[in-house]
Order: sequence, then C-alpha cells, then structure tokens
Amino acid sequence: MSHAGMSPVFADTLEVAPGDYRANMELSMAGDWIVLVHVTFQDGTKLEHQFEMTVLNAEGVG
Amino acid sequence: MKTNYFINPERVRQPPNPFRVRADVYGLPRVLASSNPGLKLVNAFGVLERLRRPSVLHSQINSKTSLDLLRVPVIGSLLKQRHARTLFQIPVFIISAAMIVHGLFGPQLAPKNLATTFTWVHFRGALVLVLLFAGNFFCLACPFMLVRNLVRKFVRPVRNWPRALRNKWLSIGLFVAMLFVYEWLDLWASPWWTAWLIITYFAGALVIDSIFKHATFCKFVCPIGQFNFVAATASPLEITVRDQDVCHSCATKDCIRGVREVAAPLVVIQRGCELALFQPRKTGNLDCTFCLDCVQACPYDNVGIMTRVPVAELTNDPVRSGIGFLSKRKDLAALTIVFTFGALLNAFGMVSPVYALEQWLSRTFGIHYELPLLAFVFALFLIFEPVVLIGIAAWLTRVWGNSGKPLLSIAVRYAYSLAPLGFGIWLAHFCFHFFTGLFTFIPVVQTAVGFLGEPRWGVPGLAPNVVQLFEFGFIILGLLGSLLVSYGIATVEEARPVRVFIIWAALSLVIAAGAFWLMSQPMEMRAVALGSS
Repeated sequence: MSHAGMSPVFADTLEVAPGDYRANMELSMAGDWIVLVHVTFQDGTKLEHQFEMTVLNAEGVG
Repeated sequence: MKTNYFINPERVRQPPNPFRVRADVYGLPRVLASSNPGLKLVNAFGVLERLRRPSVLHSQINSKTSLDLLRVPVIGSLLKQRHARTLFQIPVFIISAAMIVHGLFGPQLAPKNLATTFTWVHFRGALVLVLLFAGNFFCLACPFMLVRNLVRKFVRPVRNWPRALRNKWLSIGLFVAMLFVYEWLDLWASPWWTAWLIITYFAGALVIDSIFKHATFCKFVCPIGQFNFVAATASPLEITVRDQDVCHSCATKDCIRGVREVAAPLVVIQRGCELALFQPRKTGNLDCTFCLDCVQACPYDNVGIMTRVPVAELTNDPVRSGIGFLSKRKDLAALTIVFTFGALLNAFGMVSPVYALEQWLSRTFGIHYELPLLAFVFALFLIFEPVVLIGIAAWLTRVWGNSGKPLLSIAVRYAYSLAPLGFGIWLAHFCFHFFTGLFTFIPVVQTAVGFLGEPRWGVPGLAPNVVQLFEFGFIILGLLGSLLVSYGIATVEEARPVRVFIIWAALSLVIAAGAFWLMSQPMEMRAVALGSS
C-alpha cells in the first residue's frame, strides 16, 4: 500500500508455463498499491522490480 | 475584546461570584435524578456533581484528593529535575533528525521510510494516546524548542509579537493549511515531502522565537500545539498549584516572572511561564505546553501535575490567566470547531466515498485539477457544515431554549462542548493507523540501520477488525465527554437547561453518527485520477 503502516500483502508465485509465473494476492483495500517483485535465480542472483497499480473498489470508482 | 497576553499579577482582581444554579438536582426533576441508573453510574464517579458545582478558578482539582505526579517516586523526581525537559527532548530530536535524513535520502516508498512511518503512523497515534491517558507531554518533549533554546543562548529576541496577531487565527490557518497540504501533496505517501514538513517546522520555530520574545511560536503559531491544547482539555492531568494560600502570600510571583538575581533583577536565572499562564489564576490545559518552567521557578515547590476530571474545565467560564473568558474568545471557539470538523475531514480523505465525490465534482463542474476540488471539500467540511449545524443549534437554543444571549455568543460558548467528540474522532483515526501498523517501524529501522538482521515485514500490527472496536469505543468516549460538557454548560448558564442540552446533545449525536459511518467505510488511499468521463 502506498500509505506507511498499512498491512503488506505477500504471495509466492507458481510457474504456470515455462517462464510464466502467477501469484494470487488478496488485497486488503482499494487504492494505490506498490508491487515489489523479488526474484531469486538458481545461481543465487537476485532481481527486484517495482511497479504501481490502482485497485478499484467494488463500485468500480476510478 | 482584546486579549491580555501578559497579566500583571498584582493587578489581577478576584473573579466574579460563581453562577447561580437555577436548576433542580443536576438540572433534572428529582424523581429522574434519583431513579435513573445511568445517572447514578455517572454520579458514582462524582462527575455530575463536579460539573454542577460552579467553580471558582480551577477548583475542579482538590489538592487533598488528587494525585500529584511530581510526588510519585522516580517519575516525580525525574520531572522535577532542572533539565528534565531537555532529557525528553534529546531523544525526540535525534529521532526527528533521523527521520529527516531518511526522508530525504532513504527509499522513497512510504512503508519503507522512517519519515513517513514514524510521522503518520507512530507519532500521531502515540500523541493522542498520551493526551488521552496523561497530558500534553509531547509538547514537553518538543524537539523544536530544544533547538530554539540552544539558539537563544546566542540570539536574544527583543520584539513582542504584534498585538493584532495575539490570538489563534494565524495558527488556525496554519492548521487548516497542514491538513490541506497533507491531502493535496499526499504527504502520507511521500517521505521527501514529509521530511521537508519537519524541516519547515524547525525553521519556523527557530525564526519566530529568535525574533519574538517568550513562547510566541507555541502560543500563537504552532499548529500541532494548538491541536494538543484543545485535545488536552480531555487529559486527566493538569499543571496547577497545590495550595492557593501559599500563592496568596507569595510576593515575587516567580511562576510567571521567573526567578531573578537579587542583585540584578533584570537577569532571569530560571524562566517563568512563557505562555503567560499565571499559576494561581490558571485554569485548565489550554495554552499549557507542560514545559515545567513554573515548577522549576516556584520558590515554594507549590506547583504540581495533578489528576483531575477530564473535560470538566470546558463547563465553566472563569477568567483564565493568559486566555481570558472562553465565551469571549471567538478564535478559540473557531479552533475547537476546526479541530472537531477537521477530524471528520481528515478521516473522510481516506475512505472510498471521497473519491466518488471528487469524481462527481469533476464531471459536474468540468474541473480536472485536484486543488480546486480539494478546496471545495475543505470549505464544505470546515465552513459550510459547521456554520449550518452550529447555527441551527444556536438558533434553536434561542427560540426553544429561551436563551437570551445573541446567536454568536451561544455558538461560541457551546462550540467548546464539541472538543471531546472531536478528540474521540482523532483518536479513532490515528489509533487505527497506530495499532494496525504498530510493528512496521521494526523492518523500517532494520532496513535503515542495515545491521539488525533481515527485515521482518510479515507482522505489521493488530488486525483491522479488532482495531475497529477501539475506534468505535473512542468515538463513544468522546461523545460521552461532549454530552457531559454541554450538559454542564446548560445547567449553569441557561434558564431551560434540559431543552438546551437536548439541542446540543443532538448535534453531538449527528457528528458522532457521521464519524461512525466514516469509520465503517472501506479504506482507500490514492491520488485522485480525474478524467473527462
């Protein structure tokens, strides 16, 4: 969440196809979220990527 | 009415005779007062009796039955130390400095930065909890005053604050500005802007108190201070004299004049109250920063930190040192109104309906910039809503309550009854973030320091559904306080106290209902995306 102190949501990914990974996350509220992707390769190399998304509420306000 | 900033203690007259109590027992027919179980429960705590009894000065506090924090072992000894305040200010200053550095140079992700985490989660929550359970100890530990006191060893201010500004209007404007900037710049999501807010605060305190004498920044400028002053009316502790007879025989009035060198009376060895609160005439916590200068200055050790009935200070209207009559201070009443309705506004800015409102306003008026839309929402909450609600209540007080006072006087007097409810709403909001994000500082500190192990992000705090119970509890507590205050004022000052109480109780209930609705809404925090659709 973009607000400090809000509960983070964690999820592990599953490989659904070669090179294609999917995760299900249950987000606690609508609004702006910042997604941090942490990747660890077999050789131990680590990669991090960050992107933002806006989650609409049930009424689809956005 | 001009407000006396400095009252010459020798020329302070005795206050007028206490108000006559016109009503029957507690303002209700005896059969109701004696048989009502709710009233019996409340009266078991002596609350109604204290509210009914008109007070002379600040006799809410009985030095024989109240607990004096300064006489509690360890805590009392610590607080009475000459440099007690500095002892509390240093760690807060160090934390503030760390927040500034991390805010400017650390990760610009709010949940990972000390500036945003400590400011918007932990500081706000701890502040209101300390005010609720103790008093204005955050002003005691103010890091801005630490720096200011250091600078004053080299730079002596020589000017007095302009008379036209010796009121709360400037600080009200700054308080509203802070709330506005918080929403407009999304300070809650910006470590960089939060750091600059803290820097600006330090700069403001330093500049103003380097030019102007006494505690000008605290009394007339600091928005956080004004928030603390109003909230502290609900605190259980108050700095006050232990024995009035000792003060009557005091010739030096050190508590306000300071302790001076015998050979050189213009040289002040120990400051007196820089906020012009003459202890024998001080009533309540308004304008008191708990700086403990009066405790240090009193030659008879006659000033204590005493327990008292919270909010009771709002029910009576004696002349208060450094403040005057509450009923004649439109600025203080306005501050209380902004405090209360600002609580609703600040919470509203974090729930889903605000975005729906702004989208609707954008489509209706064809405005696609956040600034004017936000200004409209602010005007709605802080001007239109209070004018309408309080105006109606004041009008009904005149026509149905048979009050002979002018509308504005009624509005000013009863505005203070909203302070407890406003505090309850701030408590509900700030404590939500505090309790749900209680442990989030741990991984942030681990990340910032770098050698405290792998950051533990998994456990932020308490579950939101558990915290929501606390939220509702705080609102109910605040509502109860407002009901008691409006009852206390009506009983003492009105010909038909029950009718007037019903009017102002109804207003408090309406505001509380709004707060309950707000706290039940799903949270949503985002920048407003305004489109043409």
